[in-house]
Parts: sequence; C-alpha cells; structure tokens
Amino acid sequence: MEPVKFDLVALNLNTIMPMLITLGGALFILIIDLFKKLDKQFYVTVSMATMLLAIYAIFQINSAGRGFFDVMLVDGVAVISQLIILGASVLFMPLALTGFRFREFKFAEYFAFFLFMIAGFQFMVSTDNLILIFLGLETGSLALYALIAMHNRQKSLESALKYFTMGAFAAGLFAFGSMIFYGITGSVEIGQMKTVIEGNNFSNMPLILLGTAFMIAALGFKLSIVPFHTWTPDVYEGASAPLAGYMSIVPKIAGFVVALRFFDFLAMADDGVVQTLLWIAAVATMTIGNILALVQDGVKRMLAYSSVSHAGFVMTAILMGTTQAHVGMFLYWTLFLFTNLGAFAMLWISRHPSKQFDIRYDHPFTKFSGMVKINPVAAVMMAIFMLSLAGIPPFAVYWGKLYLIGAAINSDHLYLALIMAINSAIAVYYYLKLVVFMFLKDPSQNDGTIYNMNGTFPLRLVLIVAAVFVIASIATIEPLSAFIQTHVVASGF
Amino acid sequence: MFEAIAFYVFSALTIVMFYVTVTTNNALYALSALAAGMIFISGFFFLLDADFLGVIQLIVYSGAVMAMYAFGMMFFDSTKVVKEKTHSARNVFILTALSAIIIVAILTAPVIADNAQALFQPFADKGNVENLGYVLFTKYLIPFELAAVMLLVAMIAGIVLASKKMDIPLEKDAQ
Repeated sequence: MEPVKFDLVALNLNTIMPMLITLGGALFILIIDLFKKLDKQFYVTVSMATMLLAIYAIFQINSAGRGFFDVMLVDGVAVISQLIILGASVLFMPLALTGFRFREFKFAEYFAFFLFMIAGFQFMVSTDNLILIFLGLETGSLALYALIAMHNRQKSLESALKYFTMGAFAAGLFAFGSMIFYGITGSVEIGQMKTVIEGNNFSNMPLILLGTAFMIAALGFKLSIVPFHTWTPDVYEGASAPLAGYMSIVPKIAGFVVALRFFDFLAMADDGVVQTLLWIAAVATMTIGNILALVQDGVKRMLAYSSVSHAGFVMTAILMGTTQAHVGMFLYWTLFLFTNLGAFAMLWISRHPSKQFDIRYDHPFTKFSGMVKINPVAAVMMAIFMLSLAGIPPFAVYWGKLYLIGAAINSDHLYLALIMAINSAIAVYYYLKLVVFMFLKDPSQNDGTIYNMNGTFPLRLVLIVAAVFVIASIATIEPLSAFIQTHVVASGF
Repeated sequence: MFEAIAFYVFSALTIVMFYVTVTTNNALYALSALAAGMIFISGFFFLLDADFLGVIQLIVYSGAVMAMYAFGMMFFDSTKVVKEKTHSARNVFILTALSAIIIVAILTAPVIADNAQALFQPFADKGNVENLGYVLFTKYLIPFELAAVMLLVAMIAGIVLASKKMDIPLEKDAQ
C-alpha cells in the first residue's frame, strides 16, 4: 500500500473556506453551550460575526475554479448565490432579538442549526456533483425542519412534520433522477453529463425525459412549483414569520442554482420537450399561485401563495436560457429578498401572544384595517413592501420584473412575456387589498400597541435597512446588475 | 467448482428462508427467517469479491435493521398466530403483477445502462475495500465529511425536539 500523494495547494482550500467558517461557527456555538448557558444576544453576535466572516471569505476567492478533486465548483453563479444566502441570513439574524421571549431562542442549538443550514445550502450551490448537491440539500433541509418545529406551537410541529414528509419524498425522487442520469452518462457530475449527452446527440431521449421528470418533481418540491406547491402555505403558516420569509428566499435560491446548472443544457435540446415542460410548470406556477393568493384571509397565507407565484416568475429564466434571463433571475431574487423579508418582518413585529382578531390566523387582513390612523409609520412601511411585491415602479421588484419580461421578449418568448405581464397585473389586486385595508378602512378596536408588541431596536433596524434598499433600488440597480452580469458571464451561463 | 457449490447452497437457503418469511403465520418465525435470509444474501457478495458490500449487508441489514424490527416485535405478542385478512382479490392481483414488472425492470436495468463506464478505474492490484477507501478519501472527501455533518444535525435535532411542551404562553422580554 503506497499512500496517494497530492499537493495541498491543488486542493484549492479557498473554495470551501466560506463553508468551513459557517460550520466552525456552528460547532463553536454547540461547544460553548456545553460549558455555559448564555443569552441569545451572545449567540446572535457570534452568528452574525460568522456570517460576515464567510462573506469576507467569498470575496477572497479571486479565481473561479474547482477544488477538492473537482468536486467543488466555485464559479460566478456560486459566488452570487452564496452572497444572496448569506445576505438574507445576516438580515434574518437580528430578528431573533424580539420583544417576547420565544422558546426557540433559548436554545443554543437554534443558532447552530441555522449556521449548519447555511453551510448545507452553500455546499449545494457550489458544486456540480449530484452527490454533494444531495447531501447539501439534505443537511440544509434537516436543519430547517428542526428550526420550524422549535417555534413551539402545535401548528409549527405539524408544519415541520408536513415539510419533512414532503422533503423526504422529494429526496427520494432526487435520488431516482440522479440514478437514471448516472445510468445514461456514467457520471454524477453535471458538466460530464452535458458532455456525454450532447456527445451522443440526445440519443437516449426517453430515459432522459424520465430522469428529467424525477428531477423536476424533486426540485419542484423545494421551489414550490405547481403541482408540488401544496405544502407551502401550511408550512409558512406554522413557521414563525421571519423563518417563513427566509424559507421563501434561501432554500429557493439554492434550488434555482441547481435547476439552472441541471436544466440549462437540457432545455436547449433541439426538440424542445424539456423546455416545453418547464414552460408549462412556470406558467402554471405563477398563474395558480396568483389565483389562490386572491382568496386568502390571512396575510401570511397570502404572502405564501404570492411567493409561489414569484418562484414561477423566476423559473421562466431557466427555460429562456439566455444570459440576460440568468442575470435577471439573480437580480430579481436579490430585490425580492429585501422586499419579502421586510414584509414578513412587519408581520413578526406585530406578533401577538393571542389570536385576538381571528380564531385561526395570527395576521388576518382585519388586523391591519385602519392601521394608518393608529400607526402611520408602520402602515407606510408595510405599504412600500406591498407595492414593491406588486411590481409598481420605482420599488425594488419592479426592476426585476422589467428585466425578466425584457429577457422574455428578447428571446422570442412573446406569449410568455404576455402571460408574465398579465400575472403581474393580477398580483397587484391582492397586494393592494392589504393597502386598502390599512389606508381606507376604519380602525378596528385597538390602541395600536399590537402593531409593535414584539418590536425592539434590532427588528426596527432590519426593517429600516430593507425599506431603504427597496426605495433606493433605483440607484443601486445599475451597479448590482453589472456585478451580477460579470459573475454570470464568467461562469458561462 | 467451489464457487458453484457455494452459490447453489446459498441460493437454496436464501429462497427457503424468504419462502418461510412469506408463508408463515407466526411473526417470530417470519422475523428470524428474514434475518437468516439477509445473512445468506451477504454470502453472494463475498462470492462476487465484493467484501465491503458483504460486510455492510451483515452490519446494516442483519444487524441494525433486524435488531430494530426485533425490538419493535417485543411490543406485541409475537407468539400469537397472525390471521391474514384479504379484502379484495383484485388488489392482491394488481400488487403481485406490479412487483413482477418491477423485478423484470430491475433485471433489465443493467442491459439498458450498458454505456455506463466507471469514471475512476479501480487499482487492479488492490482489494475491494482499499479501492473504496481510495475513492472515498480522495474524490469524495467533501461529500463524506458533509454526510457526517448531516448526521450530526439529525442527531441534535432529534434530541432538541424530544421535548413535548407545546404552546407555552409568551412572556415579555425584560429589555
């Protein structure tokens, strides 16, 4: 037995540095917890420091490249998506410093899970090896199930179990899909698969389609693509508000990156079957998500369906397959991040120990009626987030929608562009419904403290950051899209 | 010669054991026969020079899974004879046919996947386990370590969520 010799530099340790930092932070929190019980302020600080350090480490990766025997692939797409994941996490973390004492924040494990989850999703986006994608996805998801269940209500446990069952099913589908593609190409790496499949000119089409069906279903669960979206509203309703907002952003961007890597070459096949499949999925997702959002009574459920619809909107970028569409996808998601997290943080700040307006919902529409007369600042802020989600200029998501519809027209998907425009118009109705409740209805019987019951300085700071970004997006859009453009082009999408 | 004899002995034993598992009315017999069948299957792996898979089969299936089944059985009266209730003959027929189709698919799958070639040629002069070790600790080092992290997360989550206190009223934080 002679040992295998390799150079340490050839491993390219830089590629896993960001994940190593987050994992190290998680283990540090777990170990500290063994010796001394500390306040949540300490854990929030450690987590924030860890995530900022990880962001710094991402900027230190100068050259896009592979590492660890070609398993790690840190290209521009991986860098942007890791920045989105960590950025959303940095915004999310201060929301733990609430006015009420929630049980989950008493556990150091909550923060450790959070960092483990980030590391899992980071691994998922920075590889094209299906085995590592699977493991990253499962690490992230397992930690996320636990985070949801720790909110300590019957409903949270129920939603965590629902998500877990669905997620386990999706994991099985992912494994089957990978198996079929391994059978066709003899590789578990997407780059190699592309070479083999394009090399024999899509000769195994029935098998490729079977594998694609499994993959669409598996990723569809994570991205809440219709008809795999049914868990979304229930799980968001059971999870705490910021976690629901977080779930609508971070696991989905990780899923989108995998979908981008996986479907990019399949959608470009000559016969266009895969492209048509994705077209149907995307159109169904945005339309059905929108229509179901119209009839909701709870704001959180409405936002859940709206995030389904937004996912469908962004899904179109993958089937278009042009560079402009891919840039639009990341741009849209960055803008959506601030808006959606802001909207869910508004619900979090008004979280109340009892459900005094409705027997089922924490946040029914009636809770916000006449809010402008009681708490004008909060009402205006909520209205800004709603208008941004509706895609009304000059707020953030408008630019994303503009970019994506423009990409659809440029790539000759005129019907798609039309459907996207119509859907944006439908969406305005239910977002404005909340604005109407806040600005035009008479106030319900309350003294206004409920809108700020859970509020503290850190929560308000997060809201202010999100709102400033949403309003100032007209100024940041140029440098942001230029930054995304360079990275997407550099990684060849 | 030796291999042929061993193959037929193991096949006969495996089939007999699984036959007992399916036909017996006693849960305890079924369980023991299943465990024995699993152990005999590992014999095939050793015959095919897949030592590692053989050991895994012994440890995971025969050891862990069967032991868990056995613990599960302890909660029931396992000496009682189980009466089978068949609700509809049609369901039985459909399920049998489906299983048959799946077996055919499994057997033909290697034929379809002919063009799959091993990306990493194993070292010809090394044994099964050594080859696996080489791949696992070079190419698949990162997935291997991440799997460890995943198991850690699952374990901690299991411990944390074991507490059953739900819907505790919220208190205002002193800030």
